[in-house]
Amino acid sequence: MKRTQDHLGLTTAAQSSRPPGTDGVWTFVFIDMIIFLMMFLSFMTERLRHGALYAASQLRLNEFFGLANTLILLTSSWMVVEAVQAARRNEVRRVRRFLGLAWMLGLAFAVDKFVEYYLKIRAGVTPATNSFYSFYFFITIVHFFHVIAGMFFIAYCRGNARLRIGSERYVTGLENVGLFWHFVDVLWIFIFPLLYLVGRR
Amino acid sequence: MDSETKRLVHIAIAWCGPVFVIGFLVFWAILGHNVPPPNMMGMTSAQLVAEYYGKYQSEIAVGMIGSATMGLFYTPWSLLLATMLRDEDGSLGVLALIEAAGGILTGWLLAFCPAIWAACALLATSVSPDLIKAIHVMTWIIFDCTYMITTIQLLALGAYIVLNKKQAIFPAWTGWCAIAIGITFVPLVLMPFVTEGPFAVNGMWNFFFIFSIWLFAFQIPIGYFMLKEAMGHKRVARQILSHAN
Amino acid sequence: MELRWHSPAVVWCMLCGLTLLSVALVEEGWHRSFASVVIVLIAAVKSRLVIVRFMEANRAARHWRFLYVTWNFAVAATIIIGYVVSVAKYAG
Repeated sequence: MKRTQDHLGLTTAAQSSRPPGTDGVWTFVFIDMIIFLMMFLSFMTERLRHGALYAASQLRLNEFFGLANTLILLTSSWMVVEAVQAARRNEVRRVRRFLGLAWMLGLAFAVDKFVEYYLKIRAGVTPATNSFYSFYFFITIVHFFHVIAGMFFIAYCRGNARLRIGSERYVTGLENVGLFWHFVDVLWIFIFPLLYLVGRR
Repeated sequence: MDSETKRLVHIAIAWCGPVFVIGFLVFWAILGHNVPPPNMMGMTSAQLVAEYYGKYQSEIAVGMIGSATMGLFYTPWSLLLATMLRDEDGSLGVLALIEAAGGILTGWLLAFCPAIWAACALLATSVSPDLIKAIHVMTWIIFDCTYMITTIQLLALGAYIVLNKKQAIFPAWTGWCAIAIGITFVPLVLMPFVTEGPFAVNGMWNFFFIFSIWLFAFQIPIGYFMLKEAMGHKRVARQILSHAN
Repeated sequence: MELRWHSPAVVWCMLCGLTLLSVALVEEGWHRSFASVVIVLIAAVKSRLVIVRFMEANRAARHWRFLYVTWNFAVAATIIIGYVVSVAKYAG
């Protein structure tokens, strides 16, 4: 198989001169992005009405939970990129290794999130506490469902790697999963400052 | 029924969608003073009667009775949509049936709940405020918290469009939109438990956002493609193409 | 081993560095309004890096790159404008 290097310095097999992923997944991810944009818009509109409440509530969030989750997801995204590149080179062991690492990092995100939720609820903070916490739980739980879905897709691709490596269909499928996982990462890149950092004293 | 008559019937039913949207906006939203609805969980019974039912009694009564009529336009529109979700062998598969079921139940709800609110308006000055509030709150909880009847309709429609690569009536993005809109209803589960904020009955998310996208981002694009199909343009084009091939 | 500027590892280092910078701006007590706006701009840069380098939007159909990058701008603008307006409202 002819190998080329594109302008990014990435080694790509000739089969991946086609665009990554499929139109359907690009469409789905974009529509999901619009929904989250609406959530962010709703949050900022409510924040405008209840500035003092939002500022005071934000202070009770521990930004280091958010920081840890950001670094975890960024690293997990990197692992998925490496897995996709390995799949394009038909390197099944590297694909499985990187997908396994990505999945473990997803698990670390989940554990961190659960600990944070547990501490909040134990302190008496729930979605019904006030408007800020309604949004905090809503946005992060919806994002968390996306993380769980992504972990499922990653596990599925890892499980299928030995059987299906070498086929364009497998590479496209993995690219689609990567697309979804990077989307989950991009969401958290904005959620972290939105909830934890912006306006913090 | 000959094919031309059938076509006219389908076009008429396709127009039930826009009739529903406009009618419900006029009767339920405007006349019913539901933009936004009163924040019932944060009001006392006396406030609810004084500031809402008592203040706009006749308008709300007329608006809700009108809504009970207009709401049922949603059902034939949904059933026409179901007939456009056929399997390759021409039969109505399970996704079409789920869409139909969701459309029937949603139409019922859109008529049933306004009828009760009409009763609240008409009785506002003759029964105790506590009773009015209890019926009002109960009806809103039924109206909002049975969102799954519409969610399953949207998910079934979306799944059919996205998974059925051979169907040519609805572009793939409408299917993804339907799925996304169906999922955005889930936070309605919070409505009974919050007295303020985006998930209250009159909140930014649980009222303004989800009703807007359901009425405008779902009804309009799906209704447009339904009307095109009912008018037969695409079907004629497909027939011409298949003859040419 | 020669490290290419656009390799995933280098991109990851940039992303992590920018993340730590964002937190440092808050923890080191920089002027709140200035830090908040800069933090969102940093988030927009990070997001764009992931969209272009990790998602490979530059290799996808042109309209996808346009839509995704526009979304990135829209989110950052929403947060910054919302924050600036709230600062003006509560300062006034």
